[in-house]
Amino acid sequence: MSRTATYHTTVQWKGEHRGRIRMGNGPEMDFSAPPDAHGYAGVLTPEDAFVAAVNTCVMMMFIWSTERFKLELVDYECEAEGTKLIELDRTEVFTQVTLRPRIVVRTDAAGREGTLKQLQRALDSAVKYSLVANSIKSKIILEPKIETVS
Amino acid sequence: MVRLGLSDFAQQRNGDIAFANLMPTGSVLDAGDEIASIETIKVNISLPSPMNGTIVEVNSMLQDSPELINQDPYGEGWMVVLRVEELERELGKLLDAEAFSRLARQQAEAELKS
Repeated sequence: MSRTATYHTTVQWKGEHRGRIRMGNGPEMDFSAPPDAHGYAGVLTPEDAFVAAVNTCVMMMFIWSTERFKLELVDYECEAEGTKLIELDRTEVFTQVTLRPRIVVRTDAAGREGTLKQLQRALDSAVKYSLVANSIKSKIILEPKIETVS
Repeated sequence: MVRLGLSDFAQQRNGDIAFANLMPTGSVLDAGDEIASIETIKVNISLPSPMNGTIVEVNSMLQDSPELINQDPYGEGWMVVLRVEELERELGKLLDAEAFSRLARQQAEAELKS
């Protein structure tokens, strides 16, 4: 079993504060900095990409976890918020990423307690085994809202 | 009687456990027969019995709380109790804790180098 894998992106300057990114998995898109950092609205930014990387990776790991725990997932939507700290020396860091997943899972009344316990384990495992969450120094905060349907 | 479960090395190596399906009480096993099938967040594993014997007790707590195997593999995360007819002879086929620990370390180091 290989213990390493590599992933690639290529960026190209398009003039001013604009660029074009080509992802290793296929898609291409324009990017810039956020408008409050001398960039442009309406395109990908590194800040959004960072928060999106955490959000998408944790979601995919959560979907996998629910399959492994044999949970019947009905719906999942997650708002993610990255908190940037500007240090005294003007360097910046994402200190935390808060994930607020809204999860709907199917269960009957008798199995509700067990399902909720397994769902919490699936969430914990999603963060624990998320490649991106594992790779960053920002704190990951989970604030789930869970609903059950029969 | 012997109490069987997953080693700490094995539970750490295979990840968070989602399900542990144990063979039922009364099962007569030869060494190598499956005593449990375990589904972790990463892999499915089949746990073989290290010796001949009959299962006389299973850890029912694992049905609702399989995470006990991860949390306390040598305590509350035990799996089955096996009645063994020729215990001394069967134990003589196994590694002691020190030898197993050495083997586990060698396996881990070999895998890290590969």
